[in-house]
Amino acid sequence: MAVDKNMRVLIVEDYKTMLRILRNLLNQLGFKNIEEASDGSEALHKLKAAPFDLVIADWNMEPMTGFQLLKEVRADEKLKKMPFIMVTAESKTENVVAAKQAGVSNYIVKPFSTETLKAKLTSVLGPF
Amino acid sequence: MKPTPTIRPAGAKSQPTSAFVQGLIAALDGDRNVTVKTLIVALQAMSAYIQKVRQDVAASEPMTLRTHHLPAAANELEAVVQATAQATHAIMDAAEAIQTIALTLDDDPQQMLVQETTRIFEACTFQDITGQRVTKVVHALDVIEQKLDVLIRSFGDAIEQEAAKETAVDPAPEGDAALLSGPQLPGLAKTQDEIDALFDSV
Repeated sequence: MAVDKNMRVLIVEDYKTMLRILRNLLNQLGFKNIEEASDGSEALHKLKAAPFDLVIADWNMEPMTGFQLLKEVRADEKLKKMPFIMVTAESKTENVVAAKQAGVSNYIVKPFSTETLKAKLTSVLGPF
Repeated sequence: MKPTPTIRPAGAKSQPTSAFVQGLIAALDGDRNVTVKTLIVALQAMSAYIQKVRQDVAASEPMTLRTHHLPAAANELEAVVQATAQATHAIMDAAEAIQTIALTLDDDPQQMLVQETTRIFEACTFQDITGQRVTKVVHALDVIEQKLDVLIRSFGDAIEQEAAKETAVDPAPEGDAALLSGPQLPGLAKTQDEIDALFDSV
């Protein structure tokens, strides 16, 4: 079954440039229903206020990091099964291990290509 | 024998170390005992060394570094980030305009233009990475400023210098904070394939 391109996607990123890039690349892949948050706490507020189908989050943000957001999401009974992709420049082994152990759905290291983004979306959501 | 200089109580604000040594030399100067003479020579050498260190530290102008050079460097780096951000957004404005125009064209040229503008957006991720790298440099400058503050405060007083060693220590981050190191340098950063392999192995 093909991915529903009308799904609600939440991008969590504090760099406006990267927000815009992610939004544009997702648009190119057919996703139009996109919302934004500038850190984990704002994202958590939005996730609890309305249903989303996918979270794409940076790691390094203030006051709440993407990693903290991931743990909050996985600890929430209503949100814990939410597909969650980390897109970050943090590429150390301990980061990937910690994110995987915390329940991240997939992990993209910056800088990345549209092909990589598409491959990870396919891995998490299913074929386009 | 001349009276010995007053020994200050521990923790008390007192005369600089070199002045203390000079006072001790003066107190011992009248004594003709060989051991005392040897001690005086050693103390004079120590005093000269302390003076030299003071002069060297002063010559390095730590206050100027602290109040001028480091803040200026931080400001310059911030300007670099702002300038690259502005330039990146201008590039993306143009790319989005091209994408809009592409929608008016036939399928083939439309696809070609969209493909190329997508490459522009991918390339613009450099701004995020460089921004994070510059932030790390600015943090390093902050640490240097803190070290200079300690040096400036403690200059000339051995007891305060020892105390400053403890306050100058940058505590190692713990817990989640230990996972926030930002982008790794080229060559150290993992490729996506390495990330994938690692991810699958966990």
